[in-house]
Amino acid sequence: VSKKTDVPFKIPRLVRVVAEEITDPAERAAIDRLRRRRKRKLAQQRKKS
Amino acid sequence: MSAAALTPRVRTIVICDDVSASLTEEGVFTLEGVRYHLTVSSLPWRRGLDLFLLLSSARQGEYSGRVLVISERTDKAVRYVKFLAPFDEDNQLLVMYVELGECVFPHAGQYSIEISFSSGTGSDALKGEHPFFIVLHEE
Repeated sequence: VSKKTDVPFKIPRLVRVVAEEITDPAERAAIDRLRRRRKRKLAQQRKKS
Repeated sequence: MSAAALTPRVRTIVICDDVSASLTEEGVFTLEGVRYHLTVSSLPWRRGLDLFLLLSSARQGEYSGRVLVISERTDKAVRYVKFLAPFDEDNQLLVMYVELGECVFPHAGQYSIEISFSSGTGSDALKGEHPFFIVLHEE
């Protein structure tokens, strides 16, 4: 059984951000490829179990 | 170590219209307009979406995060955005309010909001998912 270390609590701060839109078609295509690969891997893992 | 182990954990995802910090209690927040769906009168529908996130990281550093809004029907993203999550020290909790900007929803039904983080090595890990529904209510 792994032992959990007790981390002292620090009050979290609030960070507000305006997300930047990804407009580059090449970057979007790379993200889509990554998603498809992740989904395929997950489907294979589910099939095995 | 895998990207999943090296990147921040997403502890909480809430879709809401605004967040305000308490004036009397440090680290206490009030969320406004928490929603899991949006009722629209026509399609496609344009609307801004914002996320309230609670993140944690075992390691300090600035992490590159990405949010995708995915149509479950077409399995295609309708919104791609990125943001930075700054952790000043190890084992820190970070509360973030992320404005995703205007999303265009082409049809009614289920969408999924996916949050992923990249590690310094360039690999990427999906760290959180949240369903969101568009309900068409024609007058």
